[in-house]
Amino acid sequence: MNAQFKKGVLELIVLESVRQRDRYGYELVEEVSKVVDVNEGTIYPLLKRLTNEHYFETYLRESTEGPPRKYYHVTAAGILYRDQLEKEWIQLSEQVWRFLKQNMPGEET
Amino acid sequence: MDKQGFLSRLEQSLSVLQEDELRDILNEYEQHIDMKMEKGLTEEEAIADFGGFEELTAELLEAYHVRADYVSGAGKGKEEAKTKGRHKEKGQGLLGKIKQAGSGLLRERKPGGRDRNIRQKVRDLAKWFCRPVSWLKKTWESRKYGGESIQKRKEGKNMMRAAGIRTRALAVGVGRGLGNLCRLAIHVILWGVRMMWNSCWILFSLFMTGVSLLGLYGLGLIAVLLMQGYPLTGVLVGCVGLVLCTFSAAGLGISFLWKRRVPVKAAFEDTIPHRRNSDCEVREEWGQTEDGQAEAGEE
Repeated sequence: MNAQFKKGVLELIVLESVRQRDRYGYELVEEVSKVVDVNEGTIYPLLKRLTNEHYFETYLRESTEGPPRKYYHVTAAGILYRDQLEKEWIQLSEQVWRFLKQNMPGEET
Repeated sequence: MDKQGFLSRLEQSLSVLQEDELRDILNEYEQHIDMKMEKGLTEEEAIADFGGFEELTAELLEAYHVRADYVSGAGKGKEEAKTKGRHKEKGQGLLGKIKQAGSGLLRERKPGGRDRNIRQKVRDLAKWFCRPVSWLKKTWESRKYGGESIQKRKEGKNMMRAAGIRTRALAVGVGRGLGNLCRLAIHVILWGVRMMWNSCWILFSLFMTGVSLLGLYGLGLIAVLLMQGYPLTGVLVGCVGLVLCTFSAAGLGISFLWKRRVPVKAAFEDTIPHRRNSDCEVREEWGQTEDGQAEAGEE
């Protein structure tokens, strides 16, 4: 899939999966990978950025195996941002879809 | 590249960040690699899944609003001193990247671009000298036209952005200093005028109050004399008139004092929104530069 497509919706996917429940980095990467095949390296910078912008909060929790894990929790601002992104995404996809449909019957290439 | 190599390289590339943030990032990546290895992947495979190293660090720095090309430029200098071989293999990609981003740092070093560089410097210098003048002009215009000139100021800001960060910082500093000085001077003058005006009226009122008190004293005296049979009825009425007159004059003076304060206050308030405006613009400008950096990082 086009890398630029993925980059745009990645934020929305990450925000949504953290909204469902608090997750730690690796878990989140796996979760996101189920939706879009994404370069694993790009998730962490995104998490950092969203945390710096106060859309996420982090806390440490002990795990049964290995060192404590850093969990991400979405803030109220994060939920608002998610909703806004969702709205934009739906709008965009509808517009693109309408455009594609409108051109389809005339010229099938 | 194995895990340790990857982590130390990451540490070096992100050395501009705060220690605890850096540790945090390194921990996260280390954990991720460990978990991947538990799933049966080798270190190399786990690291390969992260994609291009340069992209990764650029994105990480972007999250902190740090310009990626600046850091990798600095990192390059460090590496040059340490290991020359690795620098060469990495240097190509970096050089291309920095060239593309048009970093001023490298342009200075590059001998081919010296001509352009000098011209740019001269232009910057000219702008720097013109800055206080243009600032004064803009401030004057903003007082004259209000909202309309904000657009102009923004245009000016755009020009400034092109003039380079250092020049801009200097120019903004000088401009703001001049602005503060001007504001201070206006405040002092206004304060002086107000003081003069107020003290004049206070003195007037005090004088009038004194006169009226004297009149009151005289009134009492004349009333006593009148009681004793002196023909002073006319003088008494005159004295009553004088007392009333001077009292009201004192009141008038005080009312002038009070009335004068209101327009002065308004004048002060008039200057404050300007300051607020400029503060907002500064904040906005910061936001824009951050955006600009983010864009540069994306490129």
